Amino acid sequence: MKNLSKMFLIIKLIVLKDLYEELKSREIFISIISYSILVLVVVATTSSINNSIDFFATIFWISLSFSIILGINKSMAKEFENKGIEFLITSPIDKEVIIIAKFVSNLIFITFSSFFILLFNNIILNYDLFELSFFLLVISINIGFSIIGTITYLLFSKVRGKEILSPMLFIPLITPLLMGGSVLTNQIIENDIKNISWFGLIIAYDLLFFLIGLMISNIIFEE
Amino acid sequence: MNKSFITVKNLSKSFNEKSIIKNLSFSINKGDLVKISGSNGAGKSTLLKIIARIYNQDSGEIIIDGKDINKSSLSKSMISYISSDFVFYKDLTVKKNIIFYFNLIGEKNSKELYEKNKDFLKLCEFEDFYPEILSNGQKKKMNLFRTLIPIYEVYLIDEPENGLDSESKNELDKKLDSLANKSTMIYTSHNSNSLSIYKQTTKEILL
Repeated sequence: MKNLSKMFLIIKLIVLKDLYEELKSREIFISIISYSILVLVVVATTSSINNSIDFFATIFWISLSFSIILGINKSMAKEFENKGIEFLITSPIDKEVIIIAKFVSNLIFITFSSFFILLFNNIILNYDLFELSFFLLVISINIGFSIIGTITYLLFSKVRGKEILSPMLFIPLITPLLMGGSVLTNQIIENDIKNISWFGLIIAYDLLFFLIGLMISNIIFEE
Repeated sequence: MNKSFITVKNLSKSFNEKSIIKNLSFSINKGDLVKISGSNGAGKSTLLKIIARIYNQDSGEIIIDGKDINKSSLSKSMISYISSDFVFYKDLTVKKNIIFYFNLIGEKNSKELYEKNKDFLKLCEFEDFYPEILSNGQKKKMNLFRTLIPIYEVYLIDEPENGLDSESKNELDKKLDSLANKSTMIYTSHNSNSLSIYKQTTKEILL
C-alpha cells in the first residue's frame, strides 16, 4: 500500500513537471492543433465532401492521429533533450513507474488537444458532435495512442532517423484503434450503436499495449 | 576479512557491435575512494553509467550491498551519479530543476534542503535563471549541487572538477572530503592533482 502511494506520488510529480513545462513552452499543444487544423482545412477546401457527415469520422480520426504523432514525439524528445531523462533514470524509481507517468502525460496532452480538434472539425464540417459517448470513445482511443506513441518513440530513441521510424511503426499499430474509432463514430452520429464489440476491442488493445510497455520498460529506457 | 560492498562480475558492454567493456570484474569495500583510469574511450564513463543504471549492461552483474542493482530498486536509492555532461530540463529554472530532483529521490523537505544549502557553489546567484542561458561552469555547478547535496551511500563521479574555477574547485574538494568519510566514492579524472581528495584514493581500476 505504501509502495502504491509512493508510485502515485512519483507519477504525479512527473506529470506536473511535464504540464508545467508545456505551460511554459506550449510547443506540444501548438504542434498538435496547428497540424490538425492544416489537415482539416486542406481536406475541407480541396474536396466536395465537407457537407457530408459520412466523412466526419474519417477526417476527424486522420487529422487527430497524424497530429498526435507530432505531439508525442515532441513530448518525448523534450525528456531526452539536455539529458533530462537522467533525472528519472538515476532516481530511485522503477522504470515501470516512469513509463506509466509518460503514458499519463501524453494522454493529457492529446486528450486536451483532441477537444480543440473536435471543435474545429465541428466548425469546418458544420456538424455538432459534442456527446458523452463520443467523448468516452475519444478518451479510450487516446489511451491507446498515448501508450503506443510512447513505446514506439522509446524503441527508436537511440536510432538515427527516429523521427521517421517511430511514425512508421506507430501508424500500423494504431490501425485497429482507427478502424474501431471510425465505425463507432459513425454509429454515434447515426444514433444507432449496434456493434459494441469494437469498444471491447479498443479497451483490450489499450490493455495489451499497456502490459507490453511495462514488460519492456527496463530494456527501452536508456539515455 | 572485509566483505566487499560493490561487486562487479564479468561485465560487458558494447555499442554498435564495438566492445567497450569486456568481462570486467572487481570489488570495492565500503568507504573506499576508487579511481577508474584509462585512456579516452576506454569506457570509464560507460562503466559509471552502467552502475548508475543509465545504461543496461550486455552481460554480467553488479551487486551493491548484496543486491543485484538490476533486480532491486532499493540499491538504486543508494547511488548518486555526478555526470560530466550537463543535465537539466530547459523549461524549469535552476531552483525548480533541483527541487524537482530532490522530490523525485524522495527527500521529504526538498525546499528546506535546497534553501539550507544554496550557498554551496554560490548557486543562489543564478537560481532563478533558466539553464540554457547559463555558462558551462554554472551548468556544472547546478549538476554538482543536485547530486552532492542529498546524502547517498555511493557517489559515482565523472570528472567533477572540469570547467570549474579555482574557488569552486576548493569548495567541491571540501564537500567531497566531508562525504568521503561517510560514503563510498568511485571517480574518473584525467588530472590526479586537480583535487586534494584524490590523494586519499584507496584503489585504482585500470580499463
